[in-house]
Amino acid sequence: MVISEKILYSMGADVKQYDPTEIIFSEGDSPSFYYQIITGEVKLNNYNEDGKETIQNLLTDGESIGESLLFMDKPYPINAVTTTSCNILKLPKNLFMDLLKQYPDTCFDMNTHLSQNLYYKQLMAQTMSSQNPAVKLKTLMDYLKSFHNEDKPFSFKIPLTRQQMASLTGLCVETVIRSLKKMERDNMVQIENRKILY
Amino acid sequence: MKTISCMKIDEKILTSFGAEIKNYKPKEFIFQEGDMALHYYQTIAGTVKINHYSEDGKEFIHNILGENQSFGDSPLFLEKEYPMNAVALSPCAIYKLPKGRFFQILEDHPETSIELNNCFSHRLHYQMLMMQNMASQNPMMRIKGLMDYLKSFQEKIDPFTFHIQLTRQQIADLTGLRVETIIRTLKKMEKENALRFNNKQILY
Repeated sequence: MVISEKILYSMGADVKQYDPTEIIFSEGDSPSFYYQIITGEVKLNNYNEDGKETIQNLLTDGESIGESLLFMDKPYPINAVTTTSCNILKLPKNLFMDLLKQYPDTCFDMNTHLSQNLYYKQLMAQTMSSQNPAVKLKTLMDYLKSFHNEDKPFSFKIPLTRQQMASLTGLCVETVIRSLKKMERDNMVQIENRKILY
Repeated sequence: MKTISCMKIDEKILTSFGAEIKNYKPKEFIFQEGDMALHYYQTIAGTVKINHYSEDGKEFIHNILGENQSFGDSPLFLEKEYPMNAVALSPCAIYKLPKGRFFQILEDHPETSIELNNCFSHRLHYQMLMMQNMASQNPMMRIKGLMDYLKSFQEKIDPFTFHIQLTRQQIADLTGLRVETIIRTLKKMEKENALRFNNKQILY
């Protein structure tokens, strides 16, 4: 959990319910709320001029949505869309800023949280420039697995469809399918019933 | 030219917490990929490049920093090794402060912690925009994305008022494209009146 729900409620956060595929905010909107998921799943994405989707992140229980934009005077560069039914805590930006002043520990936790995001975004950027699809997929899977306690091989089920993996890495879905089969032969992943174990 | 970093801790505070000034020669490493993150760094003078080499030896530049900018700070929070190198591009003078004292500053001066959130957010914003550009197969989109980002910190928004202070090679390494592609695409952008050249300088 990024910020304790108790603290968020004490500062005046409200709970909002969303249906699947509902938009929380759109690219170009002005950021005016801190959002934190109580339950459910949310994806952050963009569409390029040809309509191709890039997924920037997939978020779940306890995670915050687009919080970095609250620290800047810029519009959201991404959309946030629910992929399941969601309960989300919503706190106005000015109260969120007061919260960080009143709770220096939370402010420090936010430093750590943003560092973590940045660390993996940088790793992804580094590999996005690589021409090798297996390298891109491995970075993505390492990233997802890093939030998982078990680090034995094949203990982690990748919670993404092939299409989502393609949209996260900028690859074509056919390339993802072909590379995963090759990675299976190289014993880097196991595939069971179409599910990817890493 | 202002690039991605934005953190600057007051020099008096840094000195009072025991920051040392270290000098680096051009091409000297300040830290290398795989080193444990143990210090906070802030430039005083000179230019620093943050980069990474892929398995096939291709360089990827994360950032180029000028005066009064921090770098290598986010891994301090994660107990991780640096995933990239920091190299001096010119003679540099840099503040170096041990991690423990840096955290002490954050505790004693909470406004620094808030400012650090601003700084990390700026970098994340850059990463989000670049990620979007990198997913594009169109080199012009990638180059335009980088230049729009750099220009977004300028007051003047008129066309051709912003001098891109990067070499063709640096633009290539920031966008993951080949330098030949950069040269060709920049010429094409000039023809389409998206930018102008003045003595090899790029005005955007």
